[in-house]
Amino acid sequence: MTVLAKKKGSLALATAAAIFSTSLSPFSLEGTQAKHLAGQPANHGMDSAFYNHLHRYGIHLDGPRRIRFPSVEVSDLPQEIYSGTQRLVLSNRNFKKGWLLNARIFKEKLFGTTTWERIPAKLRFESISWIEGGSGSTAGISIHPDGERIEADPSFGMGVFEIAFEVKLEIPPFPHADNYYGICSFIVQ
Amino acid sequence: MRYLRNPLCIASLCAIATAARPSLTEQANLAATIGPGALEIEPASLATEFLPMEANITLTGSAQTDAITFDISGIEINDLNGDGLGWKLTASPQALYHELDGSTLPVGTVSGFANPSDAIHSTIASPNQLIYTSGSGIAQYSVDYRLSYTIPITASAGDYNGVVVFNIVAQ
Repeated sequence: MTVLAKKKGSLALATAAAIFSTSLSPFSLEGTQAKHLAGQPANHGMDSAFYNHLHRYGIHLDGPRRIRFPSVEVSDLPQEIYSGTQRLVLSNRNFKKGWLLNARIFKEKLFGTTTWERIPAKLRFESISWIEGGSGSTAGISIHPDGERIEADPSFGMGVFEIAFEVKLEIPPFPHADNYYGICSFIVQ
Repeated sequence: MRYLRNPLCIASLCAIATAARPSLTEQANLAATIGPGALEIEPASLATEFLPMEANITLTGSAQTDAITFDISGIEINDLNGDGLGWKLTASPQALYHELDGSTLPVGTVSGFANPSDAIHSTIASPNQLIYTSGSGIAQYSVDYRLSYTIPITASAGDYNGVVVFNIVAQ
């Protein structure tokens, strides 16, 4: 007798995914590009004569030595990550002719240490607030609309000020996984 | 607005500014890490139970080569590991086995991978191996897979199940 029977076949499928990470060693651009940026050695970018000149006028700038961004993962979509608000202190004892504070990120990018992929970066000054000395206010000091510089008019800008700024990274889709580094320079003139 | 094009410009500006008025440079090192995402077969694309293309399968008293065919369409790949390399997808089909008595139906013809969504960067090296040559990363890449099973003359009637294991690795 022939047996007739329906066969029900089915497939259950299993997946195996491999996740890869990069093994990286830290690298800083400070020893190379930083020197060019400042035109001077690492100690605030000043030689002794220059330092004496500044010291006489009493302008001093102090900010974060290192800004670390939140970590992100590779994505198929563009991502923006922010440094969060950072602080910079500018103190001007008695230079009365005004000043201009510029901020520049080297080549406006961060560089992958192993891949040399570049991630565009932008810095924007957010605010300036008076701390002590001078006229007791931020009168005569303005942040330009592009957020890239702050200017104190002549006879203004004396005292100690706290400047808030933020750096934004514009990560393209499918970036390389890597550690990225860059240099941000603040120049008072 | 002064637009500083390169470090030399900045250094020059510093030098000019030094002669005219006090100037000072402060620096901050910027550091960010972009971690790898997954190189994965999208689990949802294989989560369903696949049924054979044939509606009715019967024992005939003789061997039936490639009598049962499965078409697994839309296997989805996401390459977000950011390593700049391509990947290799392999399939390992296993025999269908009888739920009760453990008898098996052997793998027949494997048509294998077909219809990759990015044909330019895809090489079907063998029915069970697909190589993706682009390292740029990709999301929602899809490919189909087809295989058949043979019914031996001595096959038992009943329900059969089987597994195809897909594996993906970076190149």
